[in-house]
Amino acid sequence: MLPYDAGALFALHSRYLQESWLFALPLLIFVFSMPIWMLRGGAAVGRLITGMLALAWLWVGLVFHGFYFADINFSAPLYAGLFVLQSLLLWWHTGSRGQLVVAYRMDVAGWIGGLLLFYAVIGYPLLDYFNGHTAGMRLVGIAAGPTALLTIALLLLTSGPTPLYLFVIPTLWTFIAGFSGWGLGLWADLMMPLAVVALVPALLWKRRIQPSIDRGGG
Amino acid sequence: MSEDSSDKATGLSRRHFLSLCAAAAVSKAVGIVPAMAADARHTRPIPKSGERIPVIGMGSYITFNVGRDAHLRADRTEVLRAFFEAGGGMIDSSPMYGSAEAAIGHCLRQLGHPATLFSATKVWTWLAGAGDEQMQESRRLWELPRFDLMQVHNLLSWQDHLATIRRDRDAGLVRYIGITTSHGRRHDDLAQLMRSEPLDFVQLTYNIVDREVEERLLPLAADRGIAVIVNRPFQRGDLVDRLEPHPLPAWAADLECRTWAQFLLKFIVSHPAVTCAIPATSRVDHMRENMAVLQGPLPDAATRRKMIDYVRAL
Repeated sequence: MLPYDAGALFALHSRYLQESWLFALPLLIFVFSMPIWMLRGGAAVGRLITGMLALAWLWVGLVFHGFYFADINFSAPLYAGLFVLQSLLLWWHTGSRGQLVVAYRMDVAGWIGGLLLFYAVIGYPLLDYFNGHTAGMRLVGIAAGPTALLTIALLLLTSGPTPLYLFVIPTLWTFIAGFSGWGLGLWADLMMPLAVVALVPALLWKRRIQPSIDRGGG
Repeated sequence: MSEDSSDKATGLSRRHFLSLCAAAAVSKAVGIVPAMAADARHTRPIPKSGERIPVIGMGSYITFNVGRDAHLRADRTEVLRAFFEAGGGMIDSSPMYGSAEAAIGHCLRQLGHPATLFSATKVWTWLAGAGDEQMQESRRLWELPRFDLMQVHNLLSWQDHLATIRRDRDAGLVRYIGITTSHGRRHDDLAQLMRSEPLDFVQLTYNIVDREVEERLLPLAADRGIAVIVNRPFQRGDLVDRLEPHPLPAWAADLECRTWAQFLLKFIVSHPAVTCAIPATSRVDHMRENMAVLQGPLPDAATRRKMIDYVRAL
């Protein structure tokens, strides 16, 4: 059972936004323009996207979970650890295996990735808005749920190797968020486990056409 | 119907009388006007001391975990104002409840620290050595020099924490010692502790549909002279939601029950072994509804049976 209600959660998100938006603005601008950057594709853009994604996980872990969410949830330090770990994994992957090459693709994984990308960037805050939580809408790049979803989407949109270990924490988060959404009646989070349902056929498809991808091979 | 009320003036201790006078003075200064005469409230004695406390207190799980949001804190201050205006005493919290202790401390400051407060919190950490620091932090958050009741939360590291709380009691930082469970868990362990440890309070889950504790723990508490705090009286609201589509029985009017919440609370606090129930709410109207149970008749054993049968038949 969650130790807080939706009112307290969105009041917290509202305060988080008000107090941190200036510092988070470059990150927000980049993450929201990421779908456009992806049109260019290429190694440099891939490096930028991976770096910003790692930065987003670090920001959410340290600033949101570590500083804000810890106020109302005793599990927040654990969540902070998970988000920092995912950030480190992204940095490590970029450093040791090279950047993720992310681009739109017209195949099964591409379509599912594109849908999840749209949901993370547009759908998530919109559902919060229509759920009546206008002041504390959760935005991709600085809120946990949409950032996890964005990561899954981008990993599906990679054309190069995509090791499974990069999926583990974002996938785990979809279940944590889904559980919270069920407890608090939040549509945006309730949809999260569906991402995993979509992820499975997409991964199977990628594995079929690119066998080396999902084993972490390069 | 029987009525276990403190208007049998013999039950009003000198300390309680003085605290009520002080509360009246402080409350007047901060704008709290007692809505009902203090001596008309249902109270129960703490067996170890004879000190009486109102049978309805307040829990704070979820409802007071509002972070640092100024509007939500102001809302909760009004909830607490209604609580004290109606003659409330016990407020129960825990470090596990996120920011609830900080919010309670804030609200109490806004209300001028009402003297009728019976402060109850818990120690909740696996680490034996961290208990002392956590209890210090709780005193800081509540802005209190001492707690009326310090409980070991869900029996967590109870050996070490009970030792620390006893030391704190000797130092005047705690008045009573307790231990808690919830959701009907670990009843065997709790029963064992009630027999082996000199506890002043236990906290457990009891309501009209979760009545397992009637078999063993409540009689044991009565036998051992341990006060009983009841948590989850409404199963976190689910029970009220389930019953609300149904009408109250006509005879509920004899108990002065206007709502299902009052019906459920009267059932709980009419058990002779129960000292206090701690419903949680974030709404002023619900708080007033709960606190109205402090007045009016309580059901006797036959009526309690009728209440169980009525709910079971729904």
